[in-house]
Amino acid sequence: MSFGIMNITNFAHGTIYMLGGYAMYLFSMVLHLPFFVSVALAMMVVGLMGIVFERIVFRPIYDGPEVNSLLISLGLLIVLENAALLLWGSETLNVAAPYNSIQFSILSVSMNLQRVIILISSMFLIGMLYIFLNFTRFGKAIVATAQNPKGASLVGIDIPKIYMSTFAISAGLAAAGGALLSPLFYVYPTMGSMPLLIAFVVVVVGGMGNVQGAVVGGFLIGIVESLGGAYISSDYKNAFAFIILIGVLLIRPQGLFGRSTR
Amino acid sequence: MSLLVCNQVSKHFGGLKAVDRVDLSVEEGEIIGLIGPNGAGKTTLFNLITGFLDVTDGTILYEGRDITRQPSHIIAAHGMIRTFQKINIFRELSVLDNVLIGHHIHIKSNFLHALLHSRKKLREETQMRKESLEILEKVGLGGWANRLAKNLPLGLQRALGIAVGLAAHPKLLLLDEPASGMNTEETRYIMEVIRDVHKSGITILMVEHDMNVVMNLCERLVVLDFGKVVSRGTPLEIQNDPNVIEVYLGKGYKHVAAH
Amino acid sequence: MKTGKLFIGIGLFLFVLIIPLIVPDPYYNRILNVAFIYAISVYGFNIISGLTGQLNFAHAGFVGIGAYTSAILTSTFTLPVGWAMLIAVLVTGFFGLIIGFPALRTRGVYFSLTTLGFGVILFMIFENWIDLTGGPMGFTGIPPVYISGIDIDFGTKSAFYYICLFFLGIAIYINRELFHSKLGRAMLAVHGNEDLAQSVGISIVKTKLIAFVMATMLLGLSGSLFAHYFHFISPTSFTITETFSCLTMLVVGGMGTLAGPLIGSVIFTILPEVLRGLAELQLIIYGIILMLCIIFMPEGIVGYIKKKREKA
Repeated sequence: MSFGIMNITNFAHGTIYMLGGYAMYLFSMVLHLPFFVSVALAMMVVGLMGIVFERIVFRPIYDGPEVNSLLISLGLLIVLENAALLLWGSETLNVAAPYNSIQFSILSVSMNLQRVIILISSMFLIGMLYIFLNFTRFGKAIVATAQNPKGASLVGIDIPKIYMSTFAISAGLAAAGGALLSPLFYVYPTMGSMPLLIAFVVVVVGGMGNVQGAVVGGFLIGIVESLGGAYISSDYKNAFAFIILIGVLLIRPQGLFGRSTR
Repeated sequence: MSLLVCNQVSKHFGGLKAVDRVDLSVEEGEIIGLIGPNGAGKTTLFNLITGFLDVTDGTILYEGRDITRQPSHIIAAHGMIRTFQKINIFRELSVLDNVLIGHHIHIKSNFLHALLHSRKKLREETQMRKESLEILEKVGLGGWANRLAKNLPLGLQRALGIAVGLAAHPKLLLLDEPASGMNTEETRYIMEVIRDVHKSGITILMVEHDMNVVMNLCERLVVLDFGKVVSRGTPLEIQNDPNVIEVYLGKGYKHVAAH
Repeated sequence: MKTGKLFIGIGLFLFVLIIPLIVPDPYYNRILNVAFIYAISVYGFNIISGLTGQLNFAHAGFVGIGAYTSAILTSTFTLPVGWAMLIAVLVTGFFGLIIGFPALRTRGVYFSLTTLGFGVILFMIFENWIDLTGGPMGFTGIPPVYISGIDIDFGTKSAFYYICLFFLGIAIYINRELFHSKLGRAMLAVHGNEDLAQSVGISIVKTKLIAFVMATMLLGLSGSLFAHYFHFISPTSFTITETFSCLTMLVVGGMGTLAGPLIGSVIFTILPEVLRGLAELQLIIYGIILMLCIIFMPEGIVGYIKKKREKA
């Protein structure tokens, strides 16, 4: 959302994911709220923080060269990650996985309900995003702004509000990722680094500004990473995502589904 | 031998024939106008000739050499320089630096020479600066050498674009709508500049909508519509060609009939 | 006016030469040495981003290539240090060529991401090819710099100062000559307006590639010096975080300027020392400085001063 639609490179995205994880910890472990409630609250709280970030950090640099958003989000990343380190320490925190104990198997592949829930929740959120962007008035306004900000403002779309909301959605979704995955991967200040890199790879491979592309890209990379890690070499597991990224960018610099910008 | 020859040049975008089997030839020393309604394929043809777009079919010969598939920077090095429809300049650099960059092809000394501060490089540098200032004078930007390009008024920005092209010592200059977006005063001015450039021996092929410019400057015209050549001839012949009048039905008609 | 500048220049130059003699405390020496080593790499970064406008996120990876190459050549193969450094520079430049060629087909953010990918891959190679690089344990016992035949041990900190200074001087000289040369102008042209550059005969691919190889060679030099100065290298010195640091130095100092990389490097080498008391807040302060810089002074300190002067 922030990369493809708002056209800002937000390196702090991973740290927002991390904030989601910590929020999840707060709601589910400290306040003992139920799992899904915690996830929803985490999304909302971090979404609000996203609005703050958008106004303070990103708004001043919209007019400048694109590289500025990259640099300033880098600054934000450094600040957030180290603030987290400072405030919450570097030990990993555990978030309970209430559905972990339920196992079942389909077609001789055994599965864990917790992971299935993650899968279904993600698909649910993605589906909602797709519907929102394509079928609601506000969602279409966002897409319109992405394609042509000047034109959009001419027809009365409130650009600052759009950007604020888009970023809030971006943050909320990142938080969802952090929250949903926290039972599996624990919570710690730098937990956002890898997801950030992978997120970029996904968006680029899938093509910018394109939800379907991002989904396909995400699945593609997830699968290749797992299979590659299992069958070829687990040390270089994370490298596979990048190899795909490089491969795709070389053959089709606009991503698998992206529009040609030349 | 003609300077530039286009043989059955075509460009298809999927089903759309943007340029359809165009034959065109430009002799050395001529000043030719390429006209036609919006969307007729004029800029596309320019892009094809100068290597900014790939040809679907046909050949393009420059000085007898086949340049159809050559990349744009090589074509520029041969002496065919183009300007752009939208104003293209190096915004963050000074006016003088803009023109200095235009000299690129003709600079013989390389970075090694620069590192060693060779006399050759220093000599070339001085010569280049002198020439650049002369070019700026010629297009009327004499006093603006040290200003930042983006701070120029629009009319002068376009003149700068032409100046950069001139610095590359073109043999054939392709001007894409040089008078676009200019008022009467500025248009008259640009016409003078173009006339001077032509007088100095440079062959010119230009796309232009302003009939005043076209009729007064060009020796020959080629009319394009829907990617096809619809008519060719002198300005007088074109004015009275029923095909052309039909193509321009309405807007151009009145303009042309006024002459 | 010109002679005034010349005097200042010479004065500065002499001052810089005698710093180790006036301030013999090895602590300050160390700071300057490290600053200079970083500065060399930042000058490399400057060529790629300041002149061509692309951000190379494999920066630290290339520094690592230089470092490991030099380390391996001198330790495992006991080559004299001078030769090792030269080869390290060439090897890094070579990698710059083969990585740059595909990477430069992309532009803008995509280029940043592609190079980021390469950077990660390089890091993983450093970490996992244990036979070659020693893996996470690092590579120890790297010999110090000494000039064979003259038998002067440059291993001491103040002597190393002059070596760093020498190479820094080369880096600065290259950057300076670039600004007024055909190649440098071509780079600025490519950065400013690719279509226009092409229309006057500049080959985009060739220009970007040359810039990339030049930059990576400087990175290799920096890495090599790094290895011989610290006598120990490990993959953690060549992570994305290091790239970020150098990027910060470049941005705060001023991208595309001549003095920017040096000033940025010095500031961010001194800053950690000054902020030693606030260890945990250190990085946060960096981040805040970076953000404030982008908002208020995106052209860096030197760029900002230049801008003010032009307005006057």
